[in-house]
Amino acid sequence: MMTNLLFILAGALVLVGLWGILTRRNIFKIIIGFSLVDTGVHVFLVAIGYVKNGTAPIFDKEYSSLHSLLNTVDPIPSALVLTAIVIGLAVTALMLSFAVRLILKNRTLLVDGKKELKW
Amino acid sequence: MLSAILTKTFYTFISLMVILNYALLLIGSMARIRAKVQGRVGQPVWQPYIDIIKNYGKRTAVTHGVMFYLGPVFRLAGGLGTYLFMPVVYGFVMFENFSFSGDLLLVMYFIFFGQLGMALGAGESGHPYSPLGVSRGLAQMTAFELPFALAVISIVAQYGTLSITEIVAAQQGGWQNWVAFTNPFAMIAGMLAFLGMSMQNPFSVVIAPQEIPIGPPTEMHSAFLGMLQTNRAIFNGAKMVLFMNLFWGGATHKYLLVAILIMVVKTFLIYLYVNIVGASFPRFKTEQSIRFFLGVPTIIGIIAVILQSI
Amino acid sequence: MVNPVFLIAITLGFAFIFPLFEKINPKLSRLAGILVFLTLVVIPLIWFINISNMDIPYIYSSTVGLPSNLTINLAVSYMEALVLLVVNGVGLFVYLQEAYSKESPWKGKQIILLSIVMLGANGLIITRDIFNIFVFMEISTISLFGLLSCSSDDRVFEGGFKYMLASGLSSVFYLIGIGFFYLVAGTLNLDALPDGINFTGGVLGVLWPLFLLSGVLIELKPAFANGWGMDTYEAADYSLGAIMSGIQATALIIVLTKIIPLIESNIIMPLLLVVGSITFIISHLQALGQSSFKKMLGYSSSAQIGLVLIVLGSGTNILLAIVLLLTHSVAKSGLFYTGKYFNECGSGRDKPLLVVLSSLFVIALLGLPPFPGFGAKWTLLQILGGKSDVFTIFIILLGSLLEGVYLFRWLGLKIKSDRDSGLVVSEVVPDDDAIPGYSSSDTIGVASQTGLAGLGGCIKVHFSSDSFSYHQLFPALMAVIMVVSGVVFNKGVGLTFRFLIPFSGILFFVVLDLFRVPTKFQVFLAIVASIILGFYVYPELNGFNTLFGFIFLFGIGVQFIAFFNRKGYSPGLMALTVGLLVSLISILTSKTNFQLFFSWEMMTLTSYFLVLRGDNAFAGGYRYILFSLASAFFILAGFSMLHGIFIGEYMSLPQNLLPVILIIIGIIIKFAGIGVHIWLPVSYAEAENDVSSIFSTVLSKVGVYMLFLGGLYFSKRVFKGVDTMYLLGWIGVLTSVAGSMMALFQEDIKYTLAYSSMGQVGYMILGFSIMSHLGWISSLYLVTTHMMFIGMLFLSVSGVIYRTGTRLMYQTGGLIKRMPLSFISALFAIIALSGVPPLSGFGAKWLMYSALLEKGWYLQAAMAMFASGVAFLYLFRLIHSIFLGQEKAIYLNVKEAPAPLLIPQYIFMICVMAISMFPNLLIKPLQTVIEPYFASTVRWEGYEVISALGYWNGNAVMYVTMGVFIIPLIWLLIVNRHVYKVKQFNIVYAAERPFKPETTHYAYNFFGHYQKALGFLVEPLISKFWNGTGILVNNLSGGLRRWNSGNPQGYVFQILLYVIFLSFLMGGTN
Repeated sequence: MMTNLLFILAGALVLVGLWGILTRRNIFKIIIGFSLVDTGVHVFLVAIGYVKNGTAPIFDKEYSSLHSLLNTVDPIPSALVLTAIVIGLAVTALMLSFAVRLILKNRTLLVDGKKELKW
Repeated sequence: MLSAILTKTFYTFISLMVILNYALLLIGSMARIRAKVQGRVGQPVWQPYIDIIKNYGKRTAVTHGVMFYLGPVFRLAGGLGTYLFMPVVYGFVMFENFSFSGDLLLVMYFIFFGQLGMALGAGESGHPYSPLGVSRGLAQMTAFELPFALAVISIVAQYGTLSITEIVAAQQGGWQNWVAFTNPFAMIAGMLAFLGMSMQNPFSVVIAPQEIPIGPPTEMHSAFLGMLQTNRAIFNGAKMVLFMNLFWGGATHKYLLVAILIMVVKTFLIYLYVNIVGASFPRFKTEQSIRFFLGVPTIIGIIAVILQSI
Repeated sequence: MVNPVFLIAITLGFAFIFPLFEKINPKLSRLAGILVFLTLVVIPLIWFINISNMDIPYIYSSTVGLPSNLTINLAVSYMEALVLLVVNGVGLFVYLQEAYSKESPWKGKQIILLSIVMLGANGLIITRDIFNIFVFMEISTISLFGLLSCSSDDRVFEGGFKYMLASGLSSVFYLIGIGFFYLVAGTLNLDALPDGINFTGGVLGVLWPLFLLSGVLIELKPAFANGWGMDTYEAADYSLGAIMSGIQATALIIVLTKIIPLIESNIIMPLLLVVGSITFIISHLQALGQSSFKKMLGYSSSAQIGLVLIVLGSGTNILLAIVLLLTHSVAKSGLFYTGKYFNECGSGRDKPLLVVLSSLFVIALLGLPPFPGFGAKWTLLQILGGKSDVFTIFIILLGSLLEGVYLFRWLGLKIKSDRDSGLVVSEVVPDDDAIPGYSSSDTIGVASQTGLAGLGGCIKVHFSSDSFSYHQLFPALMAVIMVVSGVVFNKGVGLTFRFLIPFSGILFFVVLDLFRVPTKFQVFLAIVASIILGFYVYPELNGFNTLFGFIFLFGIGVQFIAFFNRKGYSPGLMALTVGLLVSLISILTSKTNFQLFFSWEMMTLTSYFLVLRGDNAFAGGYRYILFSLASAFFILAGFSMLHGIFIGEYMSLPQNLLPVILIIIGIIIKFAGIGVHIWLPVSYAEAENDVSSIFSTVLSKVGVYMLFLGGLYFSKRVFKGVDTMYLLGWIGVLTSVAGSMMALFQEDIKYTLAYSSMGQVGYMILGFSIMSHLGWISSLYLVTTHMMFIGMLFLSVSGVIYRTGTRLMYQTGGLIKRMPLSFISALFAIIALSGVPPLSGFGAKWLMYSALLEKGWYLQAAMAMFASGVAFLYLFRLIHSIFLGQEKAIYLNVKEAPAPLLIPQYIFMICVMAISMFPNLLIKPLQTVIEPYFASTVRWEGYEVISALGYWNGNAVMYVTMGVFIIPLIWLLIVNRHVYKVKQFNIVYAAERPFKPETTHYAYNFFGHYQKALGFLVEPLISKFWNGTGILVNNLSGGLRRWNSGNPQGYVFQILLYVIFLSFLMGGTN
């Protein structure tokens, strides 16, 4: 149930983000939308590995029992998410820097305010 | 070998003399007939002889260059060649000429030889009217060549041969075997084309006689003109002989003189036909005559070909 | 063996250390960079050699020493090594170009970023882990963004932002795909996938491939979701274009090849086919209308990726896709750089090296010989043809043609001279009611073929100090490597060493050019070379090949003499001409379809560049290459369905008629049959004079050769109850009528001759299609003699143009006095060409009509006669307007044509005279050639040839003609003893002196009445049709281009649409 909720949350985040990217004309709002999508995907990845009432995949005392061994949260998706978050951060940062240059150049916050490249 | 060549030369000479004199007289008589139609007295029948002799007798001449000089030679060579590559009277070695050198196609293409040379000679004269006439003549020629070619093709299809001798041979045995009656469409197309070929009215824009002095001979005079006149006689004779051979059964008889007489009568009638048309119709513009030949005569020619090929 | 992980270590390490290095010594640090990038090339080279030598499938590395299923694996096989080699080679190339650039060399961060880009690309290629792919994808895009931000054009931020949105979305999709994949497979390691699991069952089984593919495909910039990429291409520096298309796209395709095997082939294959086809065609169309060079190349890259997808999707050998991909990678990056220098310098006439390089890259990009793409495309089409996959063949060839449309347009515009307006210049006689004066069909101003300004009409090449720069060295090196690898690859596909040797002649003359060997000496060497070539190939020739070998070698060899007339230095001329000769000869010695087609394309290319050398030849060259390409592609399509049987040996009657029709259409385009002829006149007319002459004499026969080569294959093929040969016969005769009619109304002499040769080739086709002994003899007889007399005519006219500087006939006149030798040559040529006895031309007519009548093709015979009459008209006009009539004052001092132009004419004339006198000299050998195909239907009696219908004795005709000519001449000389030569204006002109020669020379609009009567036949309907087609394609391109609106959100929407489209495709095939 919990996992399904997570999936739904992830889907909702992605859709809201996409909606933002498609409908907002303010560059920063678009970038925020993009972050939302990213976050949604991260949630989705986490949800894949999630095990209800499971244990963390860390070697400690609790981990010795067979029960907990079988109910360990899958560590791989978590690892993926960590990497993805880092990369997402980098991309967002770059996007913002481009956005700033764009705004300084075009003197508008609107993403389609001044199109110089088309067709 | 030598005697064979000498005999051939002698025969050729006879053959040429016959056609030259006959054609000159024919031209003279036709001019007189035309004059009568137009209500004039007209020139004497022997006027062409007088013209030719006068022109050859001129003492001085001017030339515009080598090609100008050679032009009439080319022209006469063309006329002579056309005549000599044809058998004139069927069944007599004397009038077989050099028809062994090639068939109908050779004759058709050799006509170009004289025209090209003449046109080149006239071109070098520098007179604008000469190439003007050439341009008209050539244009008209391509037009009437089409129905003529169709007629010839139809005959070739009919008899399965390109040899003029064999075409004539196939028409022997009475008038009902003539192409004119066995293949009337070919005859009509051919005879219409012949009107253009003889350059009488309504196709007389090339060497228009009086009111527009144009055409290849514009700058020609003295012996040059004499040569052209000689050629006109021989070439006309050659053409009529060709048409006689193709459509009207050729000329043959067991006696040579009778055969020549038959030739004379047939060609006279062919030429008379041209003159009747010429006297009855006004002149076409060049583009009109082109359109004319590519119209009805071509269609008739196509019909002739189709009828023969099915 | 080097561990693959070193690639990553080296690039990463270099990126870290470089700033330190640069602080210490910038120069040394750049040298170190060379070392690093060189290492990146050397390592895969070692692998490549080892793998191929030692026969080990994989070089494998599990990163932390754990079992392979627990680590991230790196693996290099034959394929990866090859791709790494090329990609890193391109990287090295970019580094060398940029780090040592003259203006603004790359420093610090840019070099680091380049290193990181290489890291990403290398990682993508060697990793065997799906998530790792994601990481490397992000690394390479982020480093690319970094590089973008350093671009000189500040529009790059707009483009880059769009790129970021798109690539962000694609990575989102990819991540989602990873998630789903992990749910299904339980691992992300491609080498540790559990066996026996159906990955594509159920909902998840659709979801993971959909998202993984979306992620990769969108990064590959497929049509119709690639506008963001194109905007970036336009704004980014040239080097970034090279990186994007040469490095990143290549690496991403390798990623795709890793994912494809996971998905069920009946889903993925059709999907890739559809996606690839759409991208291939639409991107090419979009590129067509581009004015921005970089964007055009961007679209082209996208389309090329489409082609690779098609290959992957067609399930043929994956190596083919790789070869195409790598060819594209190198050629495209090379083109980005040559394009850069071109755009900085304007016209390329004085930059020969740049011209050569761009040409080579364009050729490579199009998959033409001698590059690897050629062999790959050929093999691909052979496989597709074997599977009767006509649709894919069609898509590939159509796309390639579209690609040619814009690449050759760009190339032509770069090579054209400054005087060249780029339009077809042809003078048209105005209507009666129009204001008299000059007017032209689709040109501006006065026709440029007039006047004395262009005396000589030679290409003027001069070397300025910046003709060569060190920057062109690396592209040159790359081109050389490509040529070598292409030759090696194509040799693998099916060329033999012996076959390739003659082509080294091109190389030899290129080297001579590099050392600035004077053209005259090169011409001498070329004549020697053609003799050697003759001896080299003679043992291989038999039958038709000997005859055509004679025509090609003798025809071109004799006309080489005309090149002695060139003054100064004409770089490339001899290399191209010799190349043309070699290609033509190789067509004859080909033993397989591949060799044949290789030579065919080489012939097309060399002749194309020869056309382009003309001063005003852009339009001509452009039409030439487009129609030639179309022709070649038709032939290629046909060949692909022959199941590898050499067309010259194809005997059996297959059920499939399609290849026959395709090949014949290709040949019809090549010989400029009616309807597809518009390329011929303008390209023949605008090429340089001595080159046009070669085209008209020799090159025009190559289509005829192809027909004879496949003679047995083509004959007896029936299409819907109609004999294909019957149709071809009609096309031949209509072509000859049309060619003659159009030649009639030209004022420009070269157009007249060009149309004339079109018409004459029509006769040859007609003769061939008769399919009888006599028909073939007539065709081959005409092929041989036409070569000689059109050579005489063309060279004679060349002499006139050379001396007078004008191509408009009415501007000259009366030149017989100044150039008598040229006149005689032209006269004989005209007599022969128009078929007037006694010269050899009549033989051709006689044979043809006999054959036609024998066959029962009466209407065709009548049409042919009509056409030959019309030919007589334009020939007379030609000789009259130039040599006869009134002399013009400005040409009073014109001299006879130079000896190099006269000598070949007289050599040809001797041959024509010999054949005219003794027709059996030519006809008897022709009979032996034809004997194996058709039993003889003519017999000989001495010099007399007798057919079923008629007879012809060339010898006797000659003697009679001489007799009837000489006797009247003697007579005239006797009676006309007192002849006075008069001056020019001494004519019967109503007793007046004419105003001036210009108004007295009757030459302009010579057949005006004819035009009035039959002009409607030569209305430029076909030109209009093709122009309309061009406009249509351009409009289509314009419309498709507008799809990429430039709006970032629009692009996001397109991407979402694309994903939906992909999901439909998957659902549709599921």
